Amino acid sequence: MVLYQRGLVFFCRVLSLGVSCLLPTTRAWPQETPSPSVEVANHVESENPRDWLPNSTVLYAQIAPVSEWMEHPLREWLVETEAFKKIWRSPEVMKVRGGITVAEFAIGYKLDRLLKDLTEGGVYVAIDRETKGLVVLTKTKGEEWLSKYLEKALDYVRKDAKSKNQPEPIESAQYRGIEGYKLQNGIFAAIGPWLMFTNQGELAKAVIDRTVDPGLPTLRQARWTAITDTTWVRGASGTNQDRGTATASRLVNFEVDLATVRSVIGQNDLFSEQAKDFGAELILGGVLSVLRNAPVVAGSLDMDASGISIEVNAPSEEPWFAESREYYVGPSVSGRAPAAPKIVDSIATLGTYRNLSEMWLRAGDLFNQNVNDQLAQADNTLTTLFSGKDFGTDILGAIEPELQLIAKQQSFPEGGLHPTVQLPAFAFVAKLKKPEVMRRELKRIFQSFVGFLNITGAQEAQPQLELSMDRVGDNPVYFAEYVRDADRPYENGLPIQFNFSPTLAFLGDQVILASSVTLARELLDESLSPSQAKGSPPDVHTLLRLDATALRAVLESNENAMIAQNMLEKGHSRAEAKREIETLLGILSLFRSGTVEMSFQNKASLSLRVDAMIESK
Amino acid sequence: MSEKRIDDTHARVSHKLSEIDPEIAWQAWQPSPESPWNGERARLLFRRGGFGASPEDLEYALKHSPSQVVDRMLGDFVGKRNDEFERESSQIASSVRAGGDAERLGAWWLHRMLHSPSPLVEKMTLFWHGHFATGADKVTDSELMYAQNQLFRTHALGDFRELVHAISKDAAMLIYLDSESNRKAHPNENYARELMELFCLGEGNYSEHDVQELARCFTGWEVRRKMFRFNPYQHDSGMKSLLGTKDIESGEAAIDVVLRHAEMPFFVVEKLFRFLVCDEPRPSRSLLQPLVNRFIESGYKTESVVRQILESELMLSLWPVGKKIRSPVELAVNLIRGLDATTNLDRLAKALKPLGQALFFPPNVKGWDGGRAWINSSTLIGRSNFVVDLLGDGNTRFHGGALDEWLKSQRISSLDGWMEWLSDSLLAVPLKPDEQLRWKEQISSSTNTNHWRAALITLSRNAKLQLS
Amino acid sequence: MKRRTFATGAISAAAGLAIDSTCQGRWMRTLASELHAQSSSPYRSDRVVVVIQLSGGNDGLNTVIPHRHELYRKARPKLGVSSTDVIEIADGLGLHPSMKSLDRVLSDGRLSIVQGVGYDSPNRSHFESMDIWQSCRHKKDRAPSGWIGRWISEYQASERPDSLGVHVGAESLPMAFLERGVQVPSVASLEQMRLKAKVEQVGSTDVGGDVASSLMKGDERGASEGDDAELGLLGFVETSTSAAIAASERLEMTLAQTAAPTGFPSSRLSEKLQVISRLILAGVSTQIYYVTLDGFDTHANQPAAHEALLRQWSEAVAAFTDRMKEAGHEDRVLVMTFSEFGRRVAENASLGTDHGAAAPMFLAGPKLPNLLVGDHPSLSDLDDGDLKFGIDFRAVYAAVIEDWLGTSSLKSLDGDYRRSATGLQLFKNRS
Repeated sequence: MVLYQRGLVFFCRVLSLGVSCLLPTTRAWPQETPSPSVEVANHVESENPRDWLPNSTVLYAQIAPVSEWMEHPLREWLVETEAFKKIWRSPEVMKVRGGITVAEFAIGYKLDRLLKDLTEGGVYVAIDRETKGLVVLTKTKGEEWLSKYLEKALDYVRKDAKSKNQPEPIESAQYRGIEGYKLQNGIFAAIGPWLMFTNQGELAKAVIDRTVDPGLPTLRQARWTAITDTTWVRGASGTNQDRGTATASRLVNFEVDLATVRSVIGQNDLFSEQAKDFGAELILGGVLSVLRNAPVVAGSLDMDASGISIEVNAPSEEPWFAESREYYVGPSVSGRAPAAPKIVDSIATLGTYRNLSEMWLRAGDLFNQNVNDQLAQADNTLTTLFSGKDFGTDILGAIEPELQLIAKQQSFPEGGLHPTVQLPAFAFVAKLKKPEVMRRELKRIFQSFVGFLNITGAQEAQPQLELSMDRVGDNPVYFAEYVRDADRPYENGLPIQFNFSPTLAFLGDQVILASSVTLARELLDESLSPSQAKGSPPDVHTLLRLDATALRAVLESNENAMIAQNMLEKGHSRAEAKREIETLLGILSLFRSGTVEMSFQNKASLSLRVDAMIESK
Repeated sequence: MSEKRIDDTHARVSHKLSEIDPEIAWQAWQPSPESPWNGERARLLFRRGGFGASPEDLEYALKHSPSQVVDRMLGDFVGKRNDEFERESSQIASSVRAGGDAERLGAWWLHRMLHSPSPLVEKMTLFWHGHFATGADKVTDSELMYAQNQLFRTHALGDFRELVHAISKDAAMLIYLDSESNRKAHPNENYARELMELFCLGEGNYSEHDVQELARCFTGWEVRRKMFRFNPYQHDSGMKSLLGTKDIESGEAAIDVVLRHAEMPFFVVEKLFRFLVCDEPRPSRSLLQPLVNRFIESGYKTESVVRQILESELMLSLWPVGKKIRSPVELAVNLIRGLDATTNLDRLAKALKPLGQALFFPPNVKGWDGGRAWINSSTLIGRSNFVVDLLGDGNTRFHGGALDEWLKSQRISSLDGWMEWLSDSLLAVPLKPDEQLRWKEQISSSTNTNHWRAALITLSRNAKLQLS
Repeated sequence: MKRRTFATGAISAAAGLAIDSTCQGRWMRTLASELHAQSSSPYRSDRVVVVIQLSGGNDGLNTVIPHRHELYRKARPKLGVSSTDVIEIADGLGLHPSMKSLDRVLSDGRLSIVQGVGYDSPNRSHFESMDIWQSCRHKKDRAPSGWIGRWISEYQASERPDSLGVHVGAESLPMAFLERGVQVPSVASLEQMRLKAKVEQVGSTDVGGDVASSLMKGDERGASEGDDAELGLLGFVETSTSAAIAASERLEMTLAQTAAPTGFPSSRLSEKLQVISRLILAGVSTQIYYVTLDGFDTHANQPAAHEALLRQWSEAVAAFTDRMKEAGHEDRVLVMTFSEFGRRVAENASLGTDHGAAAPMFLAGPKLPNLLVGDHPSLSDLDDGDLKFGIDFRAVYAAVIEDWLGTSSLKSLDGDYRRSATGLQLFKNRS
């Protein structure tokens, strides 16, 4: 019971977190249709920071000029949204804006214009291992422009300090003919039309050295960057089936020397062989194997009028996966997601490869002693729960590793009683290994499970389940529905349990476990109809699709509960809470759908791709 | 009339309760030039009759008389039910109830305590929750706990006898006292005993034989499908006598016999006295006598006794100041209301547990003992940490904004000003000059560099914050 | 009108009879403890008992194992632990191999195993049996009340700043602590006992002086009347506050001194015992701590689960007693472990065992005269397939309350178990 409630709270929180994470990104959308440009490198011709950065660089990122971020067509819409206006008018932002206005006046330049001119040729960020420093290089409008406005800015800072009776804030020094300025912990220097900013003097020197002396070893010669140049990176980037790449603009490119990062960070939880956390292993197991072995990782962020996509790629080799991780990647990295059924208005569908039985039985190799002790206890409880069947071998072992999960909003009859909090229905679909044996086994286990729920429910004064059986075509559907108390008025609507009608159904060799019998029936109907699209994109190991419209519908049907929740959690008045929830729903209405896709391409690379599709106006 | 006063500024503090004349104690207090109606008195009234004064409450109080303030605190009972508040509260209740988690009912109730336009009703609901203590840990069904809480609210200031009849058939109560089934062959003595010992009469006013007989009267009283039911086949229809009355026909008649016992009004009035006036010492019977008379004359209306106590010479003479230890709920709600703050109520409800007063989870059927029992090392550390956590919670806002802004709006600009404001509005007993000095030293040596916050945190370690 | 005097003789006299209720309660308690003070030794208010409850029913037969016994091998064809694996403690009797961390405790003579503990007409329901162990009462005919709760109500003195009992854990307060008028803190983590946002205690020594001054000024607001020896409310809160701050400072000091207590494994039980060790070392005056370890209901696939639990228990107990010894507290801190019942002698068909009856209890910490107390229950003379008990658990409690704490066990145990307690010779050598 408490679990349902917590689940809901968590669900709402995750959602609001997810949406608010997207906010800062969406704010940067440009106003005009961006010009088709895929390579940031286009902005740089003869000069390239790759030739100036030391070969001990471990992270290198190229970021598009500010103008490209600011001129996205959706920016106009965004600044009109309530959420943006609220932030824009908040006291914190007002204070910053006030300061900016003063500075703008002193320098004689509008900030947005200044940023555009400052980054006209792109922004380049690097982290260096040797000096433990960060350096940012921007190619500005031109050498003359830079020296003029750098001087103005420095003047302004000096005057500001003087007016506050503070000591001279800027130190300056010459190094190989380049003037460097130190303000607090930051160092600035103009190198031709380039502005360099770094937090380490040694790094500043290293960069200046290389602009003068081409013989020094540079990032371009670093061995690891050779790998990011190979086909797996280029091959993996930027083909989304849902929309063409013609209008996509690449806003960020980055590459990381993972081998060095690993050696610097050393043995920590992320890179240790035995996992401490069961959940993390279940979700990320195979990815961790790659992170533990891959020499490099590279990625990009693209944006066009229809949405944004983030992609991260790393090389991947079969021997990197220990035998114990076969449950995740499949034999010879052959594990692939099954084709997901197309259910109308589903909130989310997930298809993935995960051999749960193998994972359970290999737990000894995968986890440390502590997790294993807990698993041993869980095994004992679960085996008792499943009428003496061994949980790892008999229950998890009964299904094939191609798994599907579907979530969909439930509809409740108009006018009649419905649950006060409406939760989506969930279904789990997998193929049975020995259908003829397992169908009967599972049916019996399902019956005892319902009995168990009734007994424990009775102890906690919870409603009782009634077991029934039905058929869709030739396929049996076993389900249990909560029974209403005849004497109870339910003046507060139905309790949260009435969202559930646990269901077990079979379709040929497939088993369906659903939280609601309606969803199970729908899945059977869909699968029986001939129009059902089969087949999954090749190489895809995990595919998660989210439908923002359906998700919003679920949240809207729970708006009152969410408002009450917000009032309790934030101490808001009803009006404040309502405003916040409406803002959240408003932001959500920006999106149409999202996908997360993980694939092992040609077994030679791992690619993770997140797409968010914008709701077109 | 004006000569009959307790309130002689020089003498008042030395008065022992035993030396106070009962006739003067309970007459209505009248203001006079030497003891005017002021902030100190209004704050005491709000502390005892509610959960402390918000700046807005105080403003109202000073423009009105004490009895108008009590009227306002009674809200509901003088017909000024605030529909908007009730709608808001019931929406929260609906969402919380849907989840079925009794712990979260506490958050809903705290919202009422903080924002209800009739705080006295909530205060008395809390009183009855402690008096007829029932714990969700055993009842488990949050709907039953909610229903019981509403029952307390409905009867909070009404006829005590009606409340006893209603609670005797309350499903949560009967489940808590193992009286879901009460069979002829095995009369359950649990509820019978507590009805006399804890709810109506007190120990020593009945015999073991009375317990057995009363238990027989309740045979056939059951809880089925979460509701009270009378099962005539399980009722013991034999001869029963109780507290000297013979031939009792039914459980209801037996309750009436208990309620007619001469000790009943003394027992109830003394508990109200302890709740509203002071933790110790125990009042004499002669001091209680006028209240008992009023209780009986009014037809056992709780409101009449509560009103008489709150508007009395004894109360507004300021004699009770500092003579009660704040319960965790009082401390928390007083603090938040006093600072005009809002915060995460789910967290607040949970934070009360380590302080010893989780709402809907009283420690046992005797409820919270209160007084000195609130205090031990772990609860005192908890009380201080509670203040630190409250200030550190990102959801804590002061009049909807940050503490600094709120201070500005209150025209508090210096640390001294803030300390004075805090001690006026949060402390019942003022700090002595040397205590003031030490407090200031503590603020300056606090690891928290924000002086405004440091002042509150250091104050949370002062014993005087625990007094009401 | 004539000014009426406030105090009248008659009323004063009446008030003299109306003694402050709290204070009366305390008098009665003092009286009660005097009446009950028939315990064999004086009250040792510095002694500590840490109760570990193994929830779910520990399989005693696979904990203290008669490994060579023919009937054991027969009853446990699959679950039986082989003679080569056990840790031999007596002829034919061995501990489960996962308990090897107790080696040192064993060789130091700081462990006692009380064999075949249970009670008459055993109940096989977890809840009911646990209630019996915690309430020491068979029938649920009265309001819930536990043995520790009753002990606390008898011995809690108001001068003691700390509660006599503390429950460590996030679960709800065990029934053992319940008793009218007794409120026991549940400490979910050490953070609950530490003051957040440190403040330098400027002139903290003044606090005591302040209390004294408020004591002298009897007319101070908040001062109470009645018994002169009684501190007023304000004085009481002030004394308690300085005690709380002092305890928290001592705790901070022990935390700073032993930044990472060595030897404590990472497990839930170990974390709880670590909290207790720090409270004890900080000088908190609590006498009974209570923790639970759940998961012993091993109906299926028992071997791995049971092994993990026994390992967790023995590692935690070993680390805790080591820590106490290292800090010189071994002679005042006793760890007592029990479970609501043992399990059936015969294993079931899913590699597990079902609810049973008698099982061993464990005492550890101080030097204890006898490793084995009582006889191992007979494997042939069974009660419906379960081991018969030889020692009533209340006799063990009585020995701890009387001989270890030096207090009376009559009220706490709701009966007189002193004679059987003496027979056990838990703390004294058999003469």
